[in-house]
Amino acid sequence: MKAIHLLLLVLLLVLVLFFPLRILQFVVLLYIGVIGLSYLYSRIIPRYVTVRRENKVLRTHRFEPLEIALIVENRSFLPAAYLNVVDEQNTFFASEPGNFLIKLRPGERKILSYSLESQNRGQYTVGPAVIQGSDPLGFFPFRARSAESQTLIVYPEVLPLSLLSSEGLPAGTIRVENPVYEDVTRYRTLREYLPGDSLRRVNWKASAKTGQLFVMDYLPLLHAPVLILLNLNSQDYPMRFRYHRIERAATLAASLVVHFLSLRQEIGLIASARLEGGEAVPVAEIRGTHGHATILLEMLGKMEPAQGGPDFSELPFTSGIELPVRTRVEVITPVLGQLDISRLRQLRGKGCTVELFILGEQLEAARELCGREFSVFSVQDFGSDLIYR
Amino acid sequence: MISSIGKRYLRLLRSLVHPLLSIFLPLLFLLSADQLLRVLFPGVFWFPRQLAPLLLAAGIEEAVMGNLLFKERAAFLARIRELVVLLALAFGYLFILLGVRSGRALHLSPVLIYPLTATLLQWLFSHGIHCGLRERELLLGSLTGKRGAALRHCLRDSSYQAGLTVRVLRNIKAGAIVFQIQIVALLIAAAVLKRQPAFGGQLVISLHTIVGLLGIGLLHGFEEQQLLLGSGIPLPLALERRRVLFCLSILAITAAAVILAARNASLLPLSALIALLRKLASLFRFPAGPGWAEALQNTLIERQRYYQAMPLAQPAPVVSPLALLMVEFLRRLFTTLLGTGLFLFLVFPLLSQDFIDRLRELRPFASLWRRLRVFLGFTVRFWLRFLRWLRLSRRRAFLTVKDEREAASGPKHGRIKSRRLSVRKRVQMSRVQRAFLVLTKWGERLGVPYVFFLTPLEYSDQLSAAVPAGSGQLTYVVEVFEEVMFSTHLVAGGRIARYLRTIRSLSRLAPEETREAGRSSP
Repeated sequence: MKAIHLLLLVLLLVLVLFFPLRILQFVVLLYIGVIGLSYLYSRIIPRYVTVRRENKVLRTHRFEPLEIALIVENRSFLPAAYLNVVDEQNTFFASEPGNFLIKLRPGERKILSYSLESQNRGQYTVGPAVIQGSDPLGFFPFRARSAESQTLIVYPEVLPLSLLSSEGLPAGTIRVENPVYEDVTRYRTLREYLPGDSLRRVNWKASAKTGQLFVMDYLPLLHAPVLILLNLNSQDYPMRFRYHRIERAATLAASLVVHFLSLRQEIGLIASARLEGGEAVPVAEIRGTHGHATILLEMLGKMEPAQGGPDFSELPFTSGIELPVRTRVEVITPVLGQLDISRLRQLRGKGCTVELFILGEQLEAARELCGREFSVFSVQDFGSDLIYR
Repeated sequence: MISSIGKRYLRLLRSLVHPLLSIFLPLLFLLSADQLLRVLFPGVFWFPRQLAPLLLAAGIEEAVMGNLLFKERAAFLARIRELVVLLALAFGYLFILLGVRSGRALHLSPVLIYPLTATLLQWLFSHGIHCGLRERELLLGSLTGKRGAALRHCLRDSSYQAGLTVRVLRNIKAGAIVFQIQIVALLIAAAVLKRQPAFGGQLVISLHTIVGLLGIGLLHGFEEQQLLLGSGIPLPLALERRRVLFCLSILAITAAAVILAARNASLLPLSALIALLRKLASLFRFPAGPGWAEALQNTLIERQRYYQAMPLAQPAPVVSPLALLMVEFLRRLFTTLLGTGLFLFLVFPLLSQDFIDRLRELRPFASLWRRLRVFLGFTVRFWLRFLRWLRLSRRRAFLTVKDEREAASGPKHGRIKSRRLSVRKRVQMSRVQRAFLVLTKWGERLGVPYVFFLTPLEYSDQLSAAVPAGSGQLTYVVEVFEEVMFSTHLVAGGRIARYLRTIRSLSRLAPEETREAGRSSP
């Protein structure tokens, strides 16, 4: 209550206490009553109207709309004629602003929802919501801020990829044509014997029944653990389109994670970047669970380009990550120096398969340098076709 | 829930909410002030009795003419002319009321000046408030039909108007607060003088307080609405209505509680307050004379005696005949100039060709007659409903056991209860039926008379056979007719308008034209 209100109240009380006139007392008591009730109303409503959120943490991909729901509840015995509920959105772009006008009966609960879309990956805070209103006569406007806010993690955009898998370990989950990777535990069919087939594969029962030699045929399935080696060192990116290409690299890394997750492969990640609020290099061991993929996407969402720091090609050797034989190392980088190539050769020497994804103009140079040794892909600057060979 | 600002809402503001505010805020203030002045100066003889209708008429006149002249985009001079006419009419009213009754002509005396000044003040206050609220109407008019981002952008475009509206609303609110303060100050004076207003006066003052608080609440609401518009949210009418009801309920509850608590006695004596004030004055060395309340009382009593003695005093000036001649000459000159000025200002513009042309264009009598017919229609309908309700209620009151038995065996007993159609639906049905009758008359002219056993569809088939070119229109007519007559819902206004247009266009076709049309159609 402001000083002027207090002064007015004192004056009115003096009038009531000292002046023996019915109509004057009526008028003054009416003022006191109305102002007092309005004041009480404006104190009660913001205290008992609460705004809650269903989830503390929300996750979405970049450019994907996300539904934000607010649960507004009036726990008081008074009705709220109208309240303006505004949800703060930081840097998000909301298709409809989180700005609502509602009425609430006593004890009523309403769910307000709106959708927003992030233009940038990262970790953000949505909220807190602000409730604005006033008493019915508008003498005491109020503004209350709810304590709850929501953390929103925006993953990079994910685009479909078509990558062939031809090398790895047998008995995996990727279906290939190469009979070298036949999994003897996954029976496919019987077929006629062909010269060169091992006698151990002959199905004697079927052969005896038909009078002809039949051999067992198995599914060739490949297993290839994947390590994504991401170069987010900002100095390696040219000034032109730097931000865009860094985002494109993050998009490719996230797309690779989702692609190999759909193939049920184990995935690991090393990036020459820094996580929000930390200086350590983001490293994730090679594992194959859904929870692990979520961790990788969250890391990619929160990653920021590193300023200086070690070379990305050095990281597989210094990070202490264990690389199984036939690991598929997916290198995402804008540039490739001689030193990097020699380190990648070392990786190949350890039994890994290296595939290069080059962003920007250095593609031809990379092809000339190591096109015969490694598969080289170009990363498109725009569009939904992310890579081409 | 959130819709845009509609034309209906604007019409409601323009024709009801804003005029009511601009009439009743000053009206109740002036009436309350008048009542309190009567209490404070009981010896004054020239307080008129019939002030309320005069002020109410002035307020209504201002609101109605304000709306009409705004539509016509009339200049301020027209308003001045209107004010002059209003004051002349008020003078006439007072002449009839006071002059004729007393049998003597009215001179320039307080008997005349007081009510005329009150009328002038009422008009000026009403005009000020109405003009201020007009800015809001203009702002909302520019935002009609917009919502969300479009609304925000539009409000940004009209930022000057928005700022002006807020300023004006605050000014009106300040005015309403000043009205309240003045009445409280007069009440304090009445309390000091131990004068009690009459019951009517108390009622007017109470109403003034309640309406003043409600008005301030409404003005706060308008300001909040504008803030919401700035966020791209138009305030729905339902929420606004709910808020007003909430305000009214708070005021009613408080008034009911307070009316029991108010009495003609104070908890502490006034002398205690005076003693306290003296003590405070002595602390601050404030030069307060002793017995200031008594001095005030004495002064007021002296003034009262003076007013009482005024009609008895008969001054007898002693002037020369030449001076008297000069005065008479000047008086006549002034009267002639005033008369000429009034003629040129009030009557001469009415004789101008422009005005006559505009009148012809507007056809005010036709418009008035149309509105009067609508009003009469409503009145008759209301009266009939009232009579029916009275009849039913009487029947209900005198219903005996025998009646009940008869009612049970009556033909209506056991029927399925049908939904009673609304007045609007019945009006729509009546319009559609009348239009269909026009169609049947047209059919008769064509040689296809309507026979009572024909359904509308069968009749339209016969008409279509006679006029093949109009078969599509006739199908539409029958479709709408059947929907209106055999449904319980209201058909959209656009469909009805098209239906009427179609029948009108069909009935304008002469028999020869229809034959030609029939020949030319494949």
